[in-house]
Amino acid sequence: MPWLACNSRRIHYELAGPDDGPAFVLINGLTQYVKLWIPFRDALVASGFRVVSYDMLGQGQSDKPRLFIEQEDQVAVLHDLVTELGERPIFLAGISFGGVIALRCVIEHSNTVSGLVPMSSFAELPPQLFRFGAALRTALILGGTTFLQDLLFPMNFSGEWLESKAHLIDFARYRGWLVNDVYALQNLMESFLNFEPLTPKLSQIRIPTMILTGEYDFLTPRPLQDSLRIHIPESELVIVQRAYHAFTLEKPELTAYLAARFAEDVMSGHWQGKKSIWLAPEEIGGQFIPFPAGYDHLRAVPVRLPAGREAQSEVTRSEATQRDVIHEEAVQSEVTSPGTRFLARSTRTVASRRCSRPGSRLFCCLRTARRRANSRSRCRATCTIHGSWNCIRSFAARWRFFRCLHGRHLGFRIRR
Amino acid sequence: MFSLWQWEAAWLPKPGKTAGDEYHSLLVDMAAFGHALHAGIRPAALLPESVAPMDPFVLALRRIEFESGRLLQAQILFLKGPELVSVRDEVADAVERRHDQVREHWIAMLHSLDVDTD
Repeated sequence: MPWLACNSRRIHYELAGPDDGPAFVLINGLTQYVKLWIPFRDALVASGFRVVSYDMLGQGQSDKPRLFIEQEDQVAVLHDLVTELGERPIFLAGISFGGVIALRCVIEHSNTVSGLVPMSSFAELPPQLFRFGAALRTALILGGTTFLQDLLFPMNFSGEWLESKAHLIDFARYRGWLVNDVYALQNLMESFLNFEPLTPKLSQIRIPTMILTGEYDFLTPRPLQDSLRIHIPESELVIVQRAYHAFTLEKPELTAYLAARFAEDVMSGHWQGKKSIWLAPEEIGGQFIPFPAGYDHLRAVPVRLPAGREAQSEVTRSEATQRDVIHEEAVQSEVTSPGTRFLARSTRTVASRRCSRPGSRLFCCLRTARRRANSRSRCRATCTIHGSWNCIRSFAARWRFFRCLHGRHLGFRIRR
Repeated sequence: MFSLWQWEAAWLPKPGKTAGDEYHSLLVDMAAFGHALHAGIRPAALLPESVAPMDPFVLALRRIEFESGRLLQAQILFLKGPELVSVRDEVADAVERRHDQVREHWIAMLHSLDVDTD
């Protein structure tokens, strides 16, 4: 079990994925612990990322300061973890309270990471959230960890999810109670009930930032994430449809896909953070939809923006169409069986979905092609224009391939 | 190896020089010890996962821990209170010291009962 020493504290963390891959560091929410990231982490690992998940100070198996926890201490831990990862593209993805720590880390150590994914996060405590937090703290004090969890479950998840996972809820409550200590959770909650707003410093964040928010999140409502969008220059706000607060737990594969796609866009230089607002696809590989022009994304009903409040960042339909590339026409493949001749002229569309972002469209189809090929096969792709074969099994190779050929209509073949 | 006299001796006050005068130092030490007892001793956490949650013995142990969490608030309010803000680091040290002491005795006691604490 790996441990990190930071200012005489021991931090429990877990590593997964290829040693040399670009990295994601996952930062917990309040009552979370490392194991809860497993489905999300595994989805990122499958996309070729090195993934670090860890228990923050006061959580899980990490040290639990008895009386005081400061956000500065959490930032120091995160920075040490990032430093340990060495020279490579590093992305931070933090949910809720973890997103706050990620924002602070990027503000204080601006050159250490390549991209940021704050999820269900916030930079300040307006009265509604402050009172919510204070009430949850009181619930913890009067009712213990289990009562706090009982309150958080219906805030974090949809009714459908709670119903489908009903048989696991008691076990989750038990695990949550076991790994958390009342005093440590109380210290954590107090460390952010008293925190200095980050909003004035958000403009210092000069790295690509994808802000994820749940469509139905009422614990940290959308105006909090919209404030991040407004103040962070290279940001985009992506609304995860039909999601509540804890969508990394309810929709781990989908949200990991969004994070991976963001990272791929950033690494390929195609991230366009224009403070625009998007609806995330509901399925992996689906299309990003620009938030309808002229409508207010902060309302729960479709209300037109008042005159003079047209969002500068709104994506017009034509822009979206321009960014949208039809894969079906672009991608063709030929498949051969091991030990047999090439099946000449046999073509197959390997990626039938549209990807709205140019930075990731080729990745998407290459990844799909790789999945469809036997995992043990030598999976190669070729460009119809250049005719050269390239191995696409590793993430880095796909990236090189992409850098050479992006923007063209490609046909590629898979050879087993 | 657990011995009863060490456990009893732990209750004796060991005031440091935390709050400037002996009286406050004594109070801080007592509160720190109370914090360590209420927060560090979690007997219900030792129960196996397969145990029946409504078993009276299990319920009793969990109730003890639940009440400890509430009683802990008295120590937290005092130790984090405005009177001790100026000596915050010393107070934190006193609490850490008492936690280490209680943890050591608690683990020794569990080992004497053949309870695995890993």
